[in-house]
Amino acid sequence: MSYPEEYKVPQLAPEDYENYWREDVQATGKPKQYTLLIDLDKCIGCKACQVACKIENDVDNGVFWTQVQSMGPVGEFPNLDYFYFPKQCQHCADPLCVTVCPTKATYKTDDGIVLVDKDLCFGCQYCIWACPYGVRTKNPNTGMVEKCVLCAHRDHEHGEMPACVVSCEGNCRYFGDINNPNTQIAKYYAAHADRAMKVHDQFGTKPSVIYLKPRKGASKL
Amino acid sequence: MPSVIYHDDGSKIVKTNCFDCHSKCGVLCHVDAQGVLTKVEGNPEDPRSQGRMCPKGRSAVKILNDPDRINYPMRRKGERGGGQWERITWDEALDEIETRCRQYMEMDGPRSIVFGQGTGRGCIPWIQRLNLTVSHVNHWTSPAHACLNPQLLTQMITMGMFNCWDGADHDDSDCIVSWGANMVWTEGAFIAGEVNRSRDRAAKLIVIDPCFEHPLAAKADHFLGIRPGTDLALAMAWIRLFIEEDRYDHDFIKRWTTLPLVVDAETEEAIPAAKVFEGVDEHALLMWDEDTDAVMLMPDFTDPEAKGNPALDLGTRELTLLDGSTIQVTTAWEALKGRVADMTPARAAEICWLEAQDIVDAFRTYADAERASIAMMQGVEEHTNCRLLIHAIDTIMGLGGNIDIKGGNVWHQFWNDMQDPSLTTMPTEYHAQNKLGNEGAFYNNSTGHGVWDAILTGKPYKVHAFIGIQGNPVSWCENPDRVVEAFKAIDFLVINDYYLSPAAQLADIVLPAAHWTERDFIADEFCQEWFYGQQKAVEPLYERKSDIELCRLIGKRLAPDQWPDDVYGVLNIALKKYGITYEELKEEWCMHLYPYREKKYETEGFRTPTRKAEFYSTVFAHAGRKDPLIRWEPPKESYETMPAEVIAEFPLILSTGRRYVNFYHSAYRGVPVLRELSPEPHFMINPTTAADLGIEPEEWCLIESPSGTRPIRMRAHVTAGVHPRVIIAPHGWWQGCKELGLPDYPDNSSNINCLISDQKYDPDLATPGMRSSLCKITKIQ
Amino acid sequence: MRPQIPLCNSTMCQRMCMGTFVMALVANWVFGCAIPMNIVALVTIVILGIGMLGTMSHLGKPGRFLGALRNPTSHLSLEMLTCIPVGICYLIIGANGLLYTMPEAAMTVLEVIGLIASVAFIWVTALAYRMKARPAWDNVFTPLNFMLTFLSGGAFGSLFAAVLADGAAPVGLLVTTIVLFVAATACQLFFTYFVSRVGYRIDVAPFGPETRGVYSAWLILGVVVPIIGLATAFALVDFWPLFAIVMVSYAISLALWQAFFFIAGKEVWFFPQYEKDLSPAYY
Repeated sequence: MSYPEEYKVPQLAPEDYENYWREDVQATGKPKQYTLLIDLDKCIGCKACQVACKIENDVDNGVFWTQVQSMGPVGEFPNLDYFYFPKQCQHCADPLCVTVCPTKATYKTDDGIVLVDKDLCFGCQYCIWACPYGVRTKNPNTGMVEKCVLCAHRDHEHGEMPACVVSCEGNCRYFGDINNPNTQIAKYYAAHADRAMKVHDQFGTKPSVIYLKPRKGASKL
Repeated sequence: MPSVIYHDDGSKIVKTNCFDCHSKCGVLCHVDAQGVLTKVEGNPEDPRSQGRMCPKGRSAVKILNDPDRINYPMRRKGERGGGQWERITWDEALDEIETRCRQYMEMDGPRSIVFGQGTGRGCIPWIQRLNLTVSHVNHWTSPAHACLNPQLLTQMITMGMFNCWDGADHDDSDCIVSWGANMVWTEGAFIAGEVNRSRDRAAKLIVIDPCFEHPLAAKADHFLGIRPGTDLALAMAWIRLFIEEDRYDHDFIKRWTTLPLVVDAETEEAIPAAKVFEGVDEHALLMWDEDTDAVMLMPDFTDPEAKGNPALDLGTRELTLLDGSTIQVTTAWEALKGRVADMTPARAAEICWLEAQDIVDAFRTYADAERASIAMMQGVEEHTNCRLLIHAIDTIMGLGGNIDIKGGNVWHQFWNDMQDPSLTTMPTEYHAQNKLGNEGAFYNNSTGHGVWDAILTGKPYKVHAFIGIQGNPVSWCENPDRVVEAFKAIDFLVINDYYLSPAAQLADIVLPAAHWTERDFIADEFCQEWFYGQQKAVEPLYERKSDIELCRLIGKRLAPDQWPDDVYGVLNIALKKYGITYEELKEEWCMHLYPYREKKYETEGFRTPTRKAEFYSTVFAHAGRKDPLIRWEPPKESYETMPAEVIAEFPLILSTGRRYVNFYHSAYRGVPVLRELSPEPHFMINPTTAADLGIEPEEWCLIESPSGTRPIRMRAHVTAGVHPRVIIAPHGWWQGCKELGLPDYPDNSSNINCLISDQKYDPDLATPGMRSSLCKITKIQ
Repeated sequence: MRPQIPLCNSTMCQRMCMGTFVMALVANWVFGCAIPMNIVALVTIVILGIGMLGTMSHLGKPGRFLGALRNPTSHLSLEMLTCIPVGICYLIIGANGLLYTMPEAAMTVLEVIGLIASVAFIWVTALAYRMKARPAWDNVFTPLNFMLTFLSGGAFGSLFAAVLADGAAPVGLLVTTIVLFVAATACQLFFTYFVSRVGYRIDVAPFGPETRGVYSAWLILGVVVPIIGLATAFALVDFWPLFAIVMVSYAISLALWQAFFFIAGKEVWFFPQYEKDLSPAYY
């Protein structure tokens, strides 16, 4: 092959593609809480996560498991607040949806993910009323409730990341076991804890998703 | 490294590049054992995007299998635009193209066949080859008068390099300026990573844009919510501040630019050295040496032995010429100072609707940054004063000392450098310019306007056929009604596209275009220092063919000696200068063209006539505006230039063409997962303005302009993110989405370009005022 | 949220019918009426059955509704659980005299169980609406309103039943009705005041554009008409059409009140500190 060496770029071995979006983490034996961390300072509202989630999970039209919403612009031009806010299930530690679901279709796994059992849900929508985050939707075609599942079908044991985390153009999403201090998410959280916030933690739901406030443009957060 | 990784079950992963926009992010295409594309993911090895992907690329499987795609060649039955088609074979289509084109070439010469394109998805050099070999002209038509060419031409003329777009090196920058750009959306998968990494290092961010609903506006250290079309005043104010506050790079300006040139104090013409010294080259020019306090030949400082200390602040001096006469001279620098003298921050603030202190603060952040990069894109192009604006921004880059340094605006190769010259270099008998349209003195191609005129009037020469290798002129061109008129009148119209666009609907023959997942291509341009073998992931579905293959097939019929027998043959012409074949490039997937080296001008000079950065341009002096320097000029359709009664009726400023993350120009509105993010066309209007006009949020309204051919309709998005007198509206709305039950917009009913004048252009670059015109809004009763 | 019509109807039916059952028992035991409980129970079963079909129609997968008994922390499960003794009691009581005749002592026991189960049912139904996500509902007025309107609506129903059964409504029952009606209305007015300043940016003004229709209709049918009716009732204790009109008017007002209640039950904003809520950014 006459391909000059200096033209070549470093490439992964084929088996390493599988592992690129994974992290190798030592287990700690503590209970797991898989969750997301979203750095709002980096979110540019590109919706790559929203669309990647839909394609990964084959979500129907009109239903969104994660949705990038926006706040504002609020104020008077040009002195405005404006930020993007990716919204999805907060995978609460004390989820209200689990408490109120009459069929126990909604449940929380041992590693902290809140899921909906499609064999049990009968579409009463009580969980949608009860969720303070408005992140559950009733699918008009199946009649059942759907929401973010933190890509539970992926190999979380080996650190495989959900589709939204892998797609994020601004590198603002992190995923992992927040109770394990060796994960990327725990380290990033520790480094930026001064900007950390959770939504509606006064309701006692103990949401697990951590948001980092934007450094600018969100003066009231 | 193999670019196709096979799995035991017969499936494979193909390493290639997405081409749903110009970023060409590296992707991994998962193809199953039956050859069906199942999934597309980002490729973490891509040195630019590192595996990130935007919504469009992520939807590749949907676009590949979109039921609305054109799959077979078709010929119209019945009248143009009647919607009746019959399926034909490729041979029948090419036979008809060949026969008819040969007839037209007999009648009125090869130049009566005009080729066209849209945004260009990597086939521009091949279309250029078609023109040269088939039409025997060195031009075709495209939206380049509004996109790319304003910057490319201006930068090539002032600096001999193109250093914006992927040349803006945000990754190493201490200050990132987003000027008329939304680069984290439009080339997001690689630029968003760069910008965020730099912000983590506490790099400063300046956003100059009329729209606050911009992903970086709220995060910016300085947001300048500028009045559309007046960026030139801001740029001139910054230049004046550079000079007044003495924050400019003295060494760069003195040794590497034409600003020290000695010019006539009255006419500002450069004094040829031949008028002062005997026996020198007729092109040589003069500087005034500070040390000897006299004129001398302008040295070429790429020569390490060159001597001289060019003066900048010279005042006016007397110079005796060889013929004994004396003239008053000064430097081009002094002339530039004179041009910007009265553009104080206060005056610029008044023109631009900004605060003077904000202008100064933002300037100081840029000027004080050691390495600062400016991303400028179509927000600075689509204005009738764009040559002056881009020229001014180039000057700012030079004053800041940010040219061709890491973290600044870097000189990367563009496709004209990347491809082997034999791809588009032809024997001279093929080089007849004969371009159509003369709206811009330096615009080196045919304009749409010129082509439609030629079709409809036969002047300056008859055009019989228009062959569009992708592209939807009804969407990209100003005055789309005239495009429709021309397409209905032309003898022969051939369009290849993914979808039956408004242009394709009027065609005689429609050809099915292959998506990037179905074609072999080379990814160049916008790829910084890399180059890619962008191979197909799957065999083309149905009878689709790639744009390059189409060029080759047409070329083979009409100029058989100039076109190889297969696509790889065509691609190999481009790769000749690297000594590799397409097979080899494909196998490696990515090629690192060169390691980046700073300040190449110190050894190679600038590729301009004087080999300096021509902020005083020896080229712009001779045609168009005939002005070597910048000066303040308002947009042609603005408060400064229109009569009072027009302004009274059309009191708002219209800025069109704002971007989406989920669409690309007029494409992809039929893909449900992308369309549901933006179901209907909205224009942005300030709440106080909406209240004054009685407009509720989401209400359908009419938008009209003084140059518009008719009103168009869009929904109102009431937002505080725009100035009360500015309206921001998108282009590209024609397509419906059946699956979502969303309508299409036939007959240009929501085509914003109906409001843009096809009479007012930048005289140097032929650019229409798409981002700075006037309009009015009325609710639909 | 948007008024859920099937639920407005079913809660109205539940409160009126089960309330009538409870208050008819009170009328029989305390005021010496002879309202036939089996007819009351039968009518209740039929109307409740229709209401339940309505509720099931808004389910995504109605076939699985039996699974709804599974979760003791969910008030919806509790609602279905209490539904069972209610249904059984009403059925047995309703069939009494038609299919068989039960001894009075047994009937009384069943009636007491039925009364307790009905109150429990309404109580858990009310608690189902207490959720932190909707601060307008997450307060003591929600269950209080349900209970008082249950009793008050039942009282109107029992008045009508008493006139039909005994020829005239006993004054004691009339007075009880007035007391319950005033208490219920007062509670409803307190609730109105509460939701008009609940905060979280979800205040609902009763005569604002969203609610003025249902609220005005509720005032007329649920306050004005009953006041006039109760005032004239003293003079017309044997005139059953009056009691029929008042009962029907009050019943409809309960559905209207429930619609107002739904509209007021707005979900708390993500960021109430801002004057706008998060929006999906669709344009």
